[in-house]
Amino acid sequence: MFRTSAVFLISVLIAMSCVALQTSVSNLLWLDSINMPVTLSVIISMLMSDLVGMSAAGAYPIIVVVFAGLLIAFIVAYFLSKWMNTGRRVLYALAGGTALFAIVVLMPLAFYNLDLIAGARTLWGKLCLILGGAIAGYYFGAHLSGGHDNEEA
Amino acid sequence: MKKLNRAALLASLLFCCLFAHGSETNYQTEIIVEGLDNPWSLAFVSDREWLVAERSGSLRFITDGVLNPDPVDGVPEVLFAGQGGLAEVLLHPKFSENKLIYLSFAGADGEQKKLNRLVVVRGQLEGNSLVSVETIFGSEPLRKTAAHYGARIRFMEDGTLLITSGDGFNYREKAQTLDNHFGKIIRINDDGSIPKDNPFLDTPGALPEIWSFGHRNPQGLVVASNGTVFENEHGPMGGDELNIIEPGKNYGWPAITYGVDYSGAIISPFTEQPGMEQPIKYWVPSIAPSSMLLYRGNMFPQWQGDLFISALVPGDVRRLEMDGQTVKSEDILWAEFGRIRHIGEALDGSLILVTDGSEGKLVRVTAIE
Repeated sequence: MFRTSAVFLISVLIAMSCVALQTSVSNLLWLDSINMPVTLSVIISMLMSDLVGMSAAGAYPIIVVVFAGLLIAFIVAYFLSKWMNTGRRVLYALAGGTALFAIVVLMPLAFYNLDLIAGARTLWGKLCLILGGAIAGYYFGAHLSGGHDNEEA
Repeated sequence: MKKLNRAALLASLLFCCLFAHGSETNYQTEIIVEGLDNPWSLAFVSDREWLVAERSGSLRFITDGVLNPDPVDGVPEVLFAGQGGLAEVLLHPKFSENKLIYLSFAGADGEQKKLNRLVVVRGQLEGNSLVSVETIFGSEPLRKTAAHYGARIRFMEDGTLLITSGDGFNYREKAQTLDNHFGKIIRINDDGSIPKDNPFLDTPGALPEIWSFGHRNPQGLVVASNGTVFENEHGPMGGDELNIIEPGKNYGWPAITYGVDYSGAIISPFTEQPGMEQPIKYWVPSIAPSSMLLYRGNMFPQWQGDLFISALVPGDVRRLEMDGQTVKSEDILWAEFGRIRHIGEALDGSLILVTDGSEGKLVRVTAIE
């Protein structure tokens, strides 16, 4: 249980890092495109600020949304794994991707189409974030103790 | 020595008390109208008759302090969703002659119902009806979001009309380009035509009605009698701004800002950039400035020339004592009524506060004789 919790928290951090990285990069690319003075120190400082800020300093806690999204998706994936023959890594990767899909595509529908994660305003951004969720899910599936992974069997 | 210090302390305290008393303004507040459905703005037709615009889509008369239950007929259908709906009601400067009023609102597109835009119409007021309604402005391109419309309109001294158009929330980067209406202040003639002296008339690719750009969600607009245009706009999390608007200028959003995104992400690490204007005042944390008034009345002569900004968060009014184009001091007033959506000056010089929400109220502030 302790190991599962630790692996889950790391997968949440992976997903959050992807969200923060994608948000920073999309903002920096736009700022650079209009000739703002984007230097290496600006890039590093913004990456670090976004990682901390999006996890702890927002008006709404993205990390809680990601935590809840992945938790629900992984629980569903756990039960699906009982009777599905799909490999655990793939199953949890799909679950992670689905969680981020819900956050960046479905959640805005409840908020008058407002994309609360700025990086998710473009199709490219949404795809990146869904991929981030899939990576987090893949990590979770690969490091989960107990049971067996059909891919490894 | 101790006695001398004590005497100096007492003298200082006495001076402070006298000064505070001297700068105090005696006023009383009274709730005069209740039961308004998301009121957004107010226009004073006469001493007795006022018009209030409710975001849910109704324009209603208040006569001698009594709210007419029947809304004005002929008001176009609005998109009441999110932050959208009926917003501004404004009288033409020659209203007594032509009976023209102007309305701004969020309107769904006729063909693509999921998309909407900021719309400004004008029509003639005949009794409790609005007739000959014509659209004089529609923002382009259409948006899918129901937020950040701006929607404040004001006449300039030359009879042209300024319209604030917000960045639509999802489209903030477009505030920096001139081929769209997101994050702009628009200037048109009172019939919707384009003035011949707008700043981007000859700029290739620019929309000719744009007057300034780089705005987020400007909801306060005041034109002083000397022509100075004051504007306030909502920042993101922090970074609400008070600006002096000049034609053709770039006010920076979102390339420079004193706020961060609601998610906690940095929108821009920059607060200054050559070619981009600085606010004359900004607020961190945000106060959510919803409207602005330049007090010109006689009821409070000591406030003449001061700016009053209604604020949604935490809900109060900011009185800014001005020294020309510089803010000398800021007072917080009327924090007991919750979110203040609008502040207006009645024809007798009293101040009218409009509270936000589905149980909106009008609060009158009058001087105590």
